Amino acid sequence: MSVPPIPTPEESDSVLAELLSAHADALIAGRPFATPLRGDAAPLLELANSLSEALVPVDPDTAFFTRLKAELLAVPLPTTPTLSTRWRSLPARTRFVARVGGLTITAGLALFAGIRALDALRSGRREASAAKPSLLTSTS
Amino acid sequence: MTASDQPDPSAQPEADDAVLVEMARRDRAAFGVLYERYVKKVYNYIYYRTGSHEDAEDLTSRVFHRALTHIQGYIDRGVPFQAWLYRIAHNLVANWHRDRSRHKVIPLDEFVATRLRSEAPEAAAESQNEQQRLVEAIRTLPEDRQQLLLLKFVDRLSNQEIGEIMNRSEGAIKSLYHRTLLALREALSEPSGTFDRPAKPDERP
Repeated sequence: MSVPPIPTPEESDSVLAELLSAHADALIAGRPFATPLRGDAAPLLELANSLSEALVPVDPDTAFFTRLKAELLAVPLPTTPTLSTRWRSLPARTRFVARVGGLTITAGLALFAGIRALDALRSGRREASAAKPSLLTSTS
Repeated sequence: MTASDQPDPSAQPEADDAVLVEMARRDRAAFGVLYERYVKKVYNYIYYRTGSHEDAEDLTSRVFHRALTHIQGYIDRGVPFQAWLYRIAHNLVANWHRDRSRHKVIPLDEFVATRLRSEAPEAAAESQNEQQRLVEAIRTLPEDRQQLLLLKFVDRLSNQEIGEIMNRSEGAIKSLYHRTLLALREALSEPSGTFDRPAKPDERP
């Protein structure tokens, strides 16, 4: 195993961070990490050793482990995904584009309907005003 | 695809998470394989964050039930299943702390005591004192630093995996680990009991 160089005080923090990270990886993997303990790194490497000794995994209770697995396996499968689930599963960009598209179509339809309604109103008024004189002439 | 064409999830204990997640949407046995793969890690993470086996069991149960409920909508968009699971656990633990308005984290006391009983009495007492002091110092760290130490040393995750969970780059995790050790050394250099102050998430050493 190659021995990483010990950083001197003038060396950058990133070198020290790399060294500490490699040391932690070796601790976790149970590999030896041969490096002379001197310089700024020494107390931090010792501290990491202490952490590795103190923070050790615990085992969950076997009865709990078995019970929870049985509970999870007993949950029935959903029949088909709901519309909201399918919507949430879409990528954010797709949902954004769909929202913009939906709003554009809705606005377009509203505009179209508004124009048609105005046209109908105007033509109705025109017909009404055109019908007025003929009524007068017929009564006279 | 007929049921007979479906691969048996229990026969694929080494299958990729993504494959198992896809199968778990149609087959609970595949979720069982994922459960067996991650239950101990999730349990340990929660146990060290809550300080109680009872709460760890309760919250671990909620994590997997929630994952099962939402697995239909889960898509790996740069967040692998493991990271997704840890994020659920992290959110539930955060809610747990908020509900109780307390900051009881990393309960090594009992565990350390149990583990050290097998050592010689004098050596055990000394080790226990040192580890107890270390635990107290860890408790004063901001939440993200405690999370990093637990994911690294208890769950033994790589920097890349931790980065996926904490939504940071691998380089940022290395840097955070460096700063965490510096902060911890500083806390330990203070006289016993004086570093027992509340930690803020974004606090720098």
